[in-house]
Amino acid sequence: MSLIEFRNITRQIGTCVACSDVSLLIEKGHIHAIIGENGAGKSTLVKMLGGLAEITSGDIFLDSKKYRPRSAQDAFQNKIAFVHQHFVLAEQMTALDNLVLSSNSDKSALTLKNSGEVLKLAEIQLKKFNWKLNLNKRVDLLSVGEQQRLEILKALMPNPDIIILDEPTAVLSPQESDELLEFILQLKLHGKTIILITHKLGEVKKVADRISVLRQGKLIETRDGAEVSIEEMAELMIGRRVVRESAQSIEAEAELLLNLARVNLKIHKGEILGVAGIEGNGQSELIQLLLKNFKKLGLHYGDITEDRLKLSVFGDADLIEHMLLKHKSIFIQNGLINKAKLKIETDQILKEWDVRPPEAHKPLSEFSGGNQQKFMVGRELYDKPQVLLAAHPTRGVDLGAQENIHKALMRYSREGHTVVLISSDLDEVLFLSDRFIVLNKHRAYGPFRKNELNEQRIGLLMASDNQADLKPYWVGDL
Amino acid sequence: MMDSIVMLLLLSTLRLSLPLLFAVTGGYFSEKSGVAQIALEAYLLVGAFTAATFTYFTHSLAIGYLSAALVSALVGQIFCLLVLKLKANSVVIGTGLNLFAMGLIPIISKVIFNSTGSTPSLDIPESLSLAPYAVLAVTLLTAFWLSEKTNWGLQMKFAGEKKLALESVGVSPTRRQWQSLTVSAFITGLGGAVLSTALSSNYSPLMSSGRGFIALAALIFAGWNLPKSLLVCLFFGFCEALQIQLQSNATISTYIAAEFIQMIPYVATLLALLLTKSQHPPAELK
Amino acid sequence: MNAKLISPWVGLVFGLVLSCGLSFFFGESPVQVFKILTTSFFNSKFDLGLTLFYTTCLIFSGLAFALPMKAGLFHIGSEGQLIISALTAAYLGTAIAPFQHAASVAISVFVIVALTLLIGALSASVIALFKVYKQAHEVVVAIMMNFILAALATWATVNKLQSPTSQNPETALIGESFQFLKNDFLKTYFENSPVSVFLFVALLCCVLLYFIENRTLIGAQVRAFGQNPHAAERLGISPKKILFLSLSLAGVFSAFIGLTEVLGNTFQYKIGFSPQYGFLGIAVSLLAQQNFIGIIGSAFLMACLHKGASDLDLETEHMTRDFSRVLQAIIIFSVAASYYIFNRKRDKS
Repeated sequence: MSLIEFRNITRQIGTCVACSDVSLLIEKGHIHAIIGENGAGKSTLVKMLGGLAEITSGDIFLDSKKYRPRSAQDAFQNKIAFVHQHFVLAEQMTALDNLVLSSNSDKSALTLKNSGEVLKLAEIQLKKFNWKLNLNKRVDLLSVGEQQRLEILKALMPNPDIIILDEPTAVLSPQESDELLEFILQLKLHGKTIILITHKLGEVKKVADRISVLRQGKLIETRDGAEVSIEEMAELMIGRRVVRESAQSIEAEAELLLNLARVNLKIHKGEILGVAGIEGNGQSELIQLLLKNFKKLGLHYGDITEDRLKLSVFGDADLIEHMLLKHKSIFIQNGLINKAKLKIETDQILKEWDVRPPEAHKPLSEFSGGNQQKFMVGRELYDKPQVLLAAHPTRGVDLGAQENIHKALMRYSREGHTVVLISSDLDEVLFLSDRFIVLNKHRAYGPFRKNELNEQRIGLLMASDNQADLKPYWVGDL
Repeated sequence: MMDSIVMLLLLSTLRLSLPLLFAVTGGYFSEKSGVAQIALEAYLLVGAFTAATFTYFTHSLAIGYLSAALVSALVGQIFCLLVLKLKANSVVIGTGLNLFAMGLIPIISKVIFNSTGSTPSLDIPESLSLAPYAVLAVTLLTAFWLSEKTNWGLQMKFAGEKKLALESVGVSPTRRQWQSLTVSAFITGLGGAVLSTALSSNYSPLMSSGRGFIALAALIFAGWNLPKSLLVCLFFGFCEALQIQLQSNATISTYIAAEFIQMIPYVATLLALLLTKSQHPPAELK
Repeated sequence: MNAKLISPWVGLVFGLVLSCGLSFFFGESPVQVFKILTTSFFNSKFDLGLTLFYTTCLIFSGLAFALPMKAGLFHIGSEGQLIISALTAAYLGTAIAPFQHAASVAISVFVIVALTLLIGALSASVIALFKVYKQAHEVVVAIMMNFILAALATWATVNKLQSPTSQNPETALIGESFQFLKNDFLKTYFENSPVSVFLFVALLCCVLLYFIENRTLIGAQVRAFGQNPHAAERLGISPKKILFLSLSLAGVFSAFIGLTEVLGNTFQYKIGFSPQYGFLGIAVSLLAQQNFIGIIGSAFLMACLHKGASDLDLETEHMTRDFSRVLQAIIIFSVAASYYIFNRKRDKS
């Protein structure tokens, strides 16, 4: 008899399907791992269980009873605890205060703070699992690992039956990760059911009883932890990939554009260099390093930023202004803005990239994500920079636009320009790149030529934490 | 001779710190819950005028204090409504509220007393001269109990530090902020009452003379820590006492002008901002 | 018209109605009060001149708030800056004694103006300094600076520059040759009211800023920084440059209020000469939604109301000139609220 049953669960927002027809059984007292790439739908699936995301269709059963949470409180009532990937802690308050708050409610406002009692309960929990944590310290003085413990302790305080851990080791050092895994096994010994979301295969192999693999919102397979190897998991996670024939082979004589000494990487003219890897494994550091080097060498570069809303879009500014801010020298004559030229050229980009609606005077923030991105790509390629930094260039873009962007990048590199493509979408990296590197835990591996590695090896490079798998390919740290 | 001067200085420090101690406690409740508070000046003025008026008509100091706090809290509702419900910027509304209090009080005063200047003198018996200290003691104890001992205090602080954590246990941060801002206006109103009934014996125009901002400075100087900010207020009160002493002492005041001593709270706060490594405003303060 | 543009005006009307309604509680006729508020500015040429003088100061203070606002900063430090720069102008006006020659006077005036504006710019840059190097909030620093500068000015006036012939705390009049605006055509036309050619300087500033904002790169960059500092930095726009530029310019506009007073109105520095122009500028700027040309209109409007309110003293039994502050406050409240109400409707649709 299984404790949790997902039956034909689908979640759809607009036309975007995050989870599609997932049916899954989770046994009581198991550690059930759910693995997959970024955007595979792992988090969405458990968020629906935790009452944090609405279910579009399908049902969840808890102990064979239908369960439809509307809020985190509903999940809490049903003894489900959720440990978020991003900590929900007040950093300038003590660990104990954070614990006390977690057991608070609207009604308890004018009652006395029962710090003593909470402290006692917390100490009991800590002792039970043989964990150490100074609860009187301020949270910002705790290490990341300790903050994580606090976050888990918060979840354990009401004594839940089911504990959902969303990528708990993403921010931890290897040693801290090991301690956490040890702890998860302890929880299991105490009869808890644990759902572990991760893309680190080594961890999964160590602790999971059952493993479910999600890919593009669909459940691919659920297997017993004991009978599936890391290699198989990697393959299931990545699937079979289409590889584009390289337009040209980058030979040794190709002209060098830039040498990134730190990661021992030579970037050539006319190539698309891919950077694969799960997000948060050193991508932002690599981007900073690249930008610094571009500036130092005075390279003329285009910059499709990794976070469009945060780093590219100005709230009320229209497309024309966005165009001006980027290509200032082209549109400034005698110190003044050449508005006519600006309008013509912006319209040209809108036409070329089929940005809809084609209104240059509309604020960029009022366009849909896909159209924003098309405009951004068009803008960055407008004056043919020597090198284009393209971070997640097709994120949030529909299939048609995606194809256009891919074609443009290929055409652009064939003209002799360089593209550095950073993407957590492995398909994209494999499809476009002439060569690629893989980032894992702030270490760079590669570079590899197309077809040099099979899917299994790539999956291992992205997700394994076994040094023996990785060592031969290591080129540098970020 | 020297002893009596020191004694006098200490006593007047204590007296002059009174309104600051109230205002800083009030400011604490607002800023800690995540709402920047530059309208303390308005609450002090409203409290001072209300206390003077009600005490004058009822001859009861107690009613004076109570009405000052209540009317100030009522005026605070304008701030709450605009900032919390209508999402206006707290600095803009705070500035507006200061103008509002400065403008409205003389008009009301004109209607009631037929004068925009000072209100009539109050005759407060000598026996009640310790009343403000008693009110302060009760206020500070209550404030401490509320913010440190109750879950409400914890929730109020989380509204200023991590709204998401508060929401995730089903408490509305906006509601806690609303309550906390009301407490803030209530307590600061008491400080106003002290101004007009203890430090002086009537309301005179703009008598808060920047004390609301000095209290804010003290709060920032102390890194948003209530006990520390109370100490800082005592220090700022000392500066004021010193300045008054100096003004009456011709020989010293030729060496150091009163204006420079007046400046001390503000300069000290800027220096604190400049020299200390990092300030720790509540994470969600805006 | 779209809701965003009309929302402050709806707020203004609502605020006016509310304020006049308030007068009912003081035993006055709201209609009468409304009439005084809205018509007293053209009772006479002198009154209109006075209103235009207020307009001048409010344009400058509106600009001093609006410009940093474009860069995403709340600048409430204008009051301190205008006080210290007025004092600077008054001091220099008494300290510099030019020869009888016109060129000498011209150079002296230039020096006075330049130094006054510089003091304004420098005193505002302090805020940028704290913001850039200590990440201190601009509002906190501005408040502290307001008090420090006011105290400095009072000290200097009373102890060093007190006019020997006056009982009031004020400096002596500036040199005769610097009082050339006393008899210019504007003053003559408006029956010696406080208005001066600084009105044209203010108008020019608005037009100039509007032009810079819309036709030059730096204008676009300041606005871009205000909307998204991270994205601006990624595009290579230096935060330091934007913060220092926008705040020191705001300081220059504050300083112009000092010049308007000292070179164009009273020819001396009087403690308390400003009815808190620095804060009234917030209402002016909010009403115009930081549009530099719109500020001309909203400043004139606020000036009319300010003038009208100061006439309430004479024209009504209970209302006093203090009503101007109430009016400004209620307008700030209702304009700020109208933004939310209108934008919420827009978001819903």
